[in-house]
Amino acid sequence: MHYLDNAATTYVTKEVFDAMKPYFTIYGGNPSSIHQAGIDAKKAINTARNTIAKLLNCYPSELVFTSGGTEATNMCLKGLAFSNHTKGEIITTKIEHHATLHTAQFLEDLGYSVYYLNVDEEGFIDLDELRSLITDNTLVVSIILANNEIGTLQHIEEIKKICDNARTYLHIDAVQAITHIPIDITELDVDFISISAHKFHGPKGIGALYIKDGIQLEPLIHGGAQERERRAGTENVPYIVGFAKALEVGIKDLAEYRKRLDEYGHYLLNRLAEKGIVYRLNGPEIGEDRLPGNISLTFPNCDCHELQYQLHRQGIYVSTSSACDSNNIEVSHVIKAIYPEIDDHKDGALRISLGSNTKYEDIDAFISAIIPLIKKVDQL
Amino acid sequence: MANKVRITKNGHVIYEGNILDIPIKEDAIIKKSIEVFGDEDPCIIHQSFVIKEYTNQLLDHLKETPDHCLEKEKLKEKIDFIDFTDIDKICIELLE
Repeated sequence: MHYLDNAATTYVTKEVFDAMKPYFTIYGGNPSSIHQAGIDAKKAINTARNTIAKLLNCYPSELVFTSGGTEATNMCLKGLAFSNHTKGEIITTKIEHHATLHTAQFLEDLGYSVYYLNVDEEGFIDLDELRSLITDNTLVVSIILANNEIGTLQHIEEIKKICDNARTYLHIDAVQAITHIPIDITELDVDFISISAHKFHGPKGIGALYIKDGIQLEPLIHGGAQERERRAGTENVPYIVGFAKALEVGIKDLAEYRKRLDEYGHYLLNRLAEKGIVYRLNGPEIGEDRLPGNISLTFPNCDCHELQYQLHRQGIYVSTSSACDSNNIEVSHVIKAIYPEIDDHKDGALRISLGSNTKYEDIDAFISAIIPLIKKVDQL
Repeated sequence: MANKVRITKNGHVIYEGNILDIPIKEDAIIKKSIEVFGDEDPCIIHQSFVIKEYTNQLLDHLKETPDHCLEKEKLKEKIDFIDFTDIDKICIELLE
């Protein structure tokens, strides 16, 4: 198997799994129980929270554990909307993850006005458009820091200044960014950050919302005093422990990891060019403006779904940027947003996402497999 | 990628085109979806995947056949997912 779909998810490493195991079988108490089994579980959560806070440079009390990035984003946007009684507008972008877009659409149905910022061909938002739309009626601006499909890394500092001038909350979806680029929450100085552990070798089903100290949110889930009354329900102790361990390992290796993924990315594109394969790289060039390891490619006249299927048959796993409604498979909203002038997106896009286990031989396997598929189309 | 096939019945061409576009029985899609995904109500992306599974299976049979042509009842069970009547009377030929 050549797993090149690390932006979809990553595998739990042995190191992370070993850290989690005792909390399934040995320390299985309820963290809310006041006896030794419960105390052990509670201590594990607090230790994990402290670790994560230290690694990301925030206060432990500013982190609320959730079931993942989607819940974190829902908690932020709906929680703000439900606790707000004065502001009626939300600003986001056309290239957000569905966690944000669908939540925004839900809030639109409840009466909020939602503005979807345009992006340029590389996926960068139009800062002037943001300046023109933001008002003192804007409740929150929600921006994806590292785009999951095309890897665009937004310039958050500029966005932050605009939000500050309008006294508007800023939420960033950092699900793809964590352990890929340096994240210092105090330095970023944003109000909310969504995080998901399974993107960096933690388990699926655990994440967090960073909420800047002092901000009140209406909880989405009621029924207990867990997470300082911000998210009810018995905590998922083993997964929280795994989350902290995965982050620790990921951040420790970040600089080397980023450099390696960029090298692999260049290698992949160079190999395609050497073989005379025509492609379009969607999103920014590999470098400081692009999420390391994210390679979104469109091959002219090649249906990305067919390419993906044929690669799958050869044990090479990549993604397409697609969404389905009840009757059609459509190219993603992200690809449509960066190329609004293209009417027919029939070729779609193939996302190759490299990760910590990727080796040159995986890329070579991808190249060897895709070249005949593309050349076959060229010959028709 | 885009393999073309010709399907004839009693000497008449009833389909010629991309193998991916041959009609597949709905119950065959559901059956395969349950087999692959454990899902009896697949979304369009999963349906599309299942169709590719069938058409690639057919393509493999065609490529293994010396003249790239599958004929009649001896192959019925290998092609009974195709949505044509009298499936045992059809002949499928790989064109490209």
